[in-house]
Amino acid sequence: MQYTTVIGLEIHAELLTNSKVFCTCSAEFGGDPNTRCCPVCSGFPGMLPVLNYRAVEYAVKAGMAMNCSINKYSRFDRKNYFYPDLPKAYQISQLDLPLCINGKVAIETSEGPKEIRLNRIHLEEDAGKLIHDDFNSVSLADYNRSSVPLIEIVTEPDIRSAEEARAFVEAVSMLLQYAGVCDCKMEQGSLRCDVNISLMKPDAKEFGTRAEIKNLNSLKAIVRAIEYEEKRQADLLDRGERVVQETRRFNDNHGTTKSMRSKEDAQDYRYFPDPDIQPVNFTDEDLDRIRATLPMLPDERVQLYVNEYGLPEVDAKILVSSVALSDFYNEAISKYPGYKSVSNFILTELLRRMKETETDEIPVTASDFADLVKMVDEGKVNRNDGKTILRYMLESKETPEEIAKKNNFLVVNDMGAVNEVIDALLAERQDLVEQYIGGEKKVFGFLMGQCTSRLKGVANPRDIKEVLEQKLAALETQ
Amino acid sequence: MDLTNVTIKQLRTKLDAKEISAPELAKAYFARIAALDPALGCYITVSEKEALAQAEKAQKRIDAGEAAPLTGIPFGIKDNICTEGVKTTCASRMLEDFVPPYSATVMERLQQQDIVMLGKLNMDEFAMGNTTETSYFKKTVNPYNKERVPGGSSGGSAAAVSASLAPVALGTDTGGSIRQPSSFCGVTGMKPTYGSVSRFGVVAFASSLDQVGPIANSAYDCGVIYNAITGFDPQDGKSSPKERSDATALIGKSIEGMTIALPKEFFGEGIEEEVKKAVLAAAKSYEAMGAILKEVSMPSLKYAIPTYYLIASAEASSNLSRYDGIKFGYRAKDIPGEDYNDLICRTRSEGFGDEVKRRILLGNYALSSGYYDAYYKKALYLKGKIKQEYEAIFSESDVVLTPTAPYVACGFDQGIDDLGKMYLADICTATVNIAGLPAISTPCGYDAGGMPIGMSLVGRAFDEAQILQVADAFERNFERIGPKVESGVR
Amino acid sequence: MRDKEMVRYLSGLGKLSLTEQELESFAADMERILEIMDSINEVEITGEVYQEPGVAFGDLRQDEKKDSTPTETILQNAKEKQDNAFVVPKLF
Repeated sequence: MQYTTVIGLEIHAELLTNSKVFCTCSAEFGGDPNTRCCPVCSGFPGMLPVLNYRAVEYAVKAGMAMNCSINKYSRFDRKNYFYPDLPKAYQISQLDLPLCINGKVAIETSEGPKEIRLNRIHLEEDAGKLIHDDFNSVSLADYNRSSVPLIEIVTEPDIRSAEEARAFVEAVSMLLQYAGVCDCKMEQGSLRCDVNISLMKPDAKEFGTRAEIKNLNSLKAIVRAIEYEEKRQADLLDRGERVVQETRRFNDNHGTTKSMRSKEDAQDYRYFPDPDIQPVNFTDEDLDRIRATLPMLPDERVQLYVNEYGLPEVDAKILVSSVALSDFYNEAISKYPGYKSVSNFILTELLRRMKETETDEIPVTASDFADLVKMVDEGKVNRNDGKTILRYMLESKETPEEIAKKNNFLVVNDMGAVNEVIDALLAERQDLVEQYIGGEKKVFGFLMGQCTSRLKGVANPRDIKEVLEQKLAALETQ
Repeated sequence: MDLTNVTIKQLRTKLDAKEISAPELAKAYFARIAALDPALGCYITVSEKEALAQAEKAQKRIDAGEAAPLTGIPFGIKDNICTEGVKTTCASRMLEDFVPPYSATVMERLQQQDIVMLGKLNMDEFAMGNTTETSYFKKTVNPYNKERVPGGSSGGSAAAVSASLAPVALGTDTGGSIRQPSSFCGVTGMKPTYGSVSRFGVVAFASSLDQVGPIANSAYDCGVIYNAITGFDPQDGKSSPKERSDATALIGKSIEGMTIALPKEFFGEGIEEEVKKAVLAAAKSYEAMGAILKEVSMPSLKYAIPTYYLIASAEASSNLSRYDGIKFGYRAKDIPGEDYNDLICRTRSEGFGDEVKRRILLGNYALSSGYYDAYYKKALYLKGKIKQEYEAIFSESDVVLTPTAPYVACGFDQGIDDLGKMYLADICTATVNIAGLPAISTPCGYDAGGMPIGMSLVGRAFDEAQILQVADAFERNFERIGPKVESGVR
Repeated sequence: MRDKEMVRYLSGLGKLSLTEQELESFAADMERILEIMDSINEVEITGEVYQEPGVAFGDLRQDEKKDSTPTETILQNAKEKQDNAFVVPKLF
């Protein structure tokens, strides 16, 4: 039987603040065990949380990037449960009045564009980490990650397939990176995902019973877990059995999900407003100020690149697929507005070099890069030498100008030599000149080829072509 | 020198005049503690070595002519206020050997003035109780009558000041824990406005209600200590950034023309006759000083106890969840093969006493799914009502006068026999915490058995200066009768 | 409902292990305590429930990191430690 899959996602994203959300310890990833903690984030007696301005700002910024409304009075609540990675035995989170509500994120699907609605985005603290020592049969608690700021992005059940889920996570990840609030390194856990999934008959009025798959930390895992779960639930329903509402864990090695605990013995979290933290009030000015720090978002940039800069949509989309690349492009064209040639040089040459050297970071400055493309466009160096210069730039960190000079790539543009060489050629090949005048215009290509090869490094092809055309035209009218 | 019932003012004069040195003064208190405390049970920890070093340092400052108001003044500190390097137990087995690697902000502020800390004072376990009987370690007796409780939860602090085992002390007050023991032990204690004194480093009982405050032999001393400990603290997210002015500034000024409100519900059923009489007599003496007495009403007082206990226990159940034996404090002996859940359950069952367990159960009840709206949410609603009723009273009056406790200090084991009576005993004090207001309790009489009776003056938020002024005005014409604890002292 | 079973549930939430006898005695205590608490049942919520006043966004703590506490200080009160971490018995 065919079923409709109904998916809601909860994405956890760690925010790129300097300090933790409730204390002044570093919020950076990693570190030796318990080297980034203090009595506050380790839950010591008498210690108090003090809310970090930037964490709130970033959460709001994420919300704005995802078209959320911002609660101008937002409150923090305690979620009470015991687990050894949670030193206070409660997590400071937000229940009734989260920072952001009612957003939406656009995604591309095979059936066209679609909007996924967000229920909320709230700010909370991350838990520590447990390292399992199987030999001694104990776990070791490390609180470095405890109280690192985290936002939880909760969707409405609008997602219908693994493909859409993947597209959504990619879109969110891109928006968070554009907003500059999360590095979205799934392999380091700075972006993690819980999937709520149920199946229903296509004509059903109500959703089926859902299972929640916790802590998926790669796009591949999300897709595989959903596909497995779709099949598992479909098999159950086909056999006339029911799906149990429960939390499941995905096993990456087997590609299967396994029950962790059922909802029947679900936790009673005893949420209540955290009496140590004052709710936050925003003025319109506060929100305007935060909004003003948000850069132009990917969709808008694609529009700009296509409509204003004349780039093909495919190219525009590749450029905006990474905020660093798009920013690089913007900076380069602000120095040299060769919109298409800069884009082409990025897409063909720069990205290839980066792939070859397996780097995520753009290895040249936008300013140098713009200079290089300009030199090629203006014929100061020929295209092939331009590529070589780029390669040297990666190695030497010298400017393209310096490299071109050092390696004799600069085209001299000696017009005297151009005239001499072309005159000599035309005298040599009277036969071709006559053919040309006689109407066989295609011989021009051969003549041009001859000229450029004889004039390599002396002048740029554009100038050569111009002189050749002039001379042939003069002969024609004689 | 005679240390009984001394004031900071007297000690300051003697220290500055070099009649006594700070180390000599500290030693005199240690001698008294050694002689009397075995019978009284005020101190959990005596920190003599640290104190003498602090006294030497204080003396240098005095000698240099740079003494601050509290330089060299000995303090007793309630044992839920963290003191770096000195055990802070909360009178619980759970924290029996806990040595905090930090000091509470209030301690930092006092140490900036070079006070001398004599030691850590007994209390109800985690400040839960009003008799100091729930302490894991010892019983503190009332210096006026060894068969009676000192009140609580700051029973050790109040008894120590009363018996002159410290000239002044810090306590904490969540529902009356400074004022009620001060009343029972015949001393003066003030709970400051919520948010005026930092809670950083003070082991939390109920975060929205807890405040640290002074216990001393006069309102003036309370003001001097309050001036030292109040102030914005960036480490306490609820600390008020409001500018603080000198809380002793109005002391000695006439109270003529001031309106003193007496809410009739505080003088009704359940309040002992002798207590009522003493407080009303104090009201009369204020009238004689030119104050205007005004009968007012606080209809929500009848819900004060459930409101207080539901909010306090809910917060406490969450605040106490961090005690699991893993990071600090008591850890049940590992049983091979035991898992995490077993270990924390045994740790908490063995580490906490019964009263703490009752509060955890009650708090979880108030917050658990299905009961939240009926209990916790309703308590928050009533909190709003109580705040409004105080606002209405303060729109027409300057201070509110009430008894501090419905009765004088009772005997031991009574509360444990009658939980209901024990919980209801906070009726006169709890609304002040719920509304976040400042209040001071000072002695206003003695019952037929010689037990002290206290009255409370409640003020507007951040108006500590006014309640100190009014309390002081009464103290000037009131003769205190100190406890007789000297038998057996050289 | 206010019986041993309720106390069993609540003690589970609070991670207290109580014997059957203790459950009974705490159930009796709770009965008396809840009698007092139940007086608020007669109150009806007719207006706004109290909401704590908020702090201005601009007054929140600035995002400055400071040195953390030395690891040995963080661990000094732990009864069991290993490899610079707190020791937790194996999880269920």
